[in-house]
Amino acid sequence: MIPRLVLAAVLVALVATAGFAQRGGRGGGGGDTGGGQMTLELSRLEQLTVTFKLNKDQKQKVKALLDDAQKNAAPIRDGLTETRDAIAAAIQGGQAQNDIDKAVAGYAAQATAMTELEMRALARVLQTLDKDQAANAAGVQTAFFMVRGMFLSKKWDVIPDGSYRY
Amino acid sequence: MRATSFWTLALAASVTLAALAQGGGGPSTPLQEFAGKLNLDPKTQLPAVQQLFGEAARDAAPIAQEMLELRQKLVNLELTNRSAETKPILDAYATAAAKMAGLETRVFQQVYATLKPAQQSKAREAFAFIAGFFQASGGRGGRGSRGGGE
Repeated sequence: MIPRLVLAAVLVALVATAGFAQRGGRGGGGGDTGGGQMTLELSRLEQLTVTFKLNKDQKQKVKALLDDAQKNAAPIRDGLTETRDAIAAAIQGGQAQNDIDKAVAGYAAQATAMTELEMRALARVLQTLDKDQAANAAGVQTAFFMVRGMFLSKKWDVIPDGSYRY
Repeated sequence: MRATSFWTLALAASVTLAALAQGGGGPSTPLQEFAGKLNLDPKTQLPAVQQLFGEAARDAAPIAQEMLELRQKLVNLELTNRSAETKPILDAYATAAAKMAGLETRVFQQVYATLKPAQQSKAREAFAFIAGFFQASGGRGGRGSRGGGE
């Protein structure tokens, strides 16, 4: 069992130093980790596998966890699209600012739901790591930034290109 | 706000702006992609949009930082099996996300007001494109946005 408090401490440290290195361009999905951890042209699962040196069993567990999260993300993904469109429609329709603000709040609720799902999925993934893997701060940072927008597309295990955002 | 945060935010805003608007002969920048979606006139419309985006990037920096920190708190709570304690964090995140989306909306409203009718018809796609536009700093770009999700 990995020491979760240690992992939590790692996350605190990495986010404090990460600043805004949230995302990179094509192939950068998780942004520049500063540790040379990112590998171009690898899918997300491949990146996690390489970064943490996942064994076969861990890789299967991680894939299952993220497949499950992907399924759960479907209604939120649709909600993001619908609420985003609602804002655009309100602007195009010249609606009152109060109505636009309500549309924005609706979108924010969906964004929050997606964030909760992403962070929960990340935690489950990190909990599959052993002590040595969990001590890989750069890897944890990579995973932290990688999950943002991970489930916006219909497939999560693709080469991240920095275009998935909400 | 911590003293170090000021410099973090200032740097983030400047890097965000640079990432959004950098020129050169490489792949198109996000700003260029946005301009392309609306077929903005490079002389009469683009400069004003560029200025609006620059201001938005600066305004977005502290919000993005807050969202980042809240995400970190969320994952830490999940890691330590304290899921029951996430509600206030999620509430704070919803508020921050509304601020960010509100900022994107405000900027887009200003852009929209300057568009010609033919350009306004592309508003939905262009607005989807700027989802999360001002949250990242480093080298965002790549292929087109999925907007609010595909």
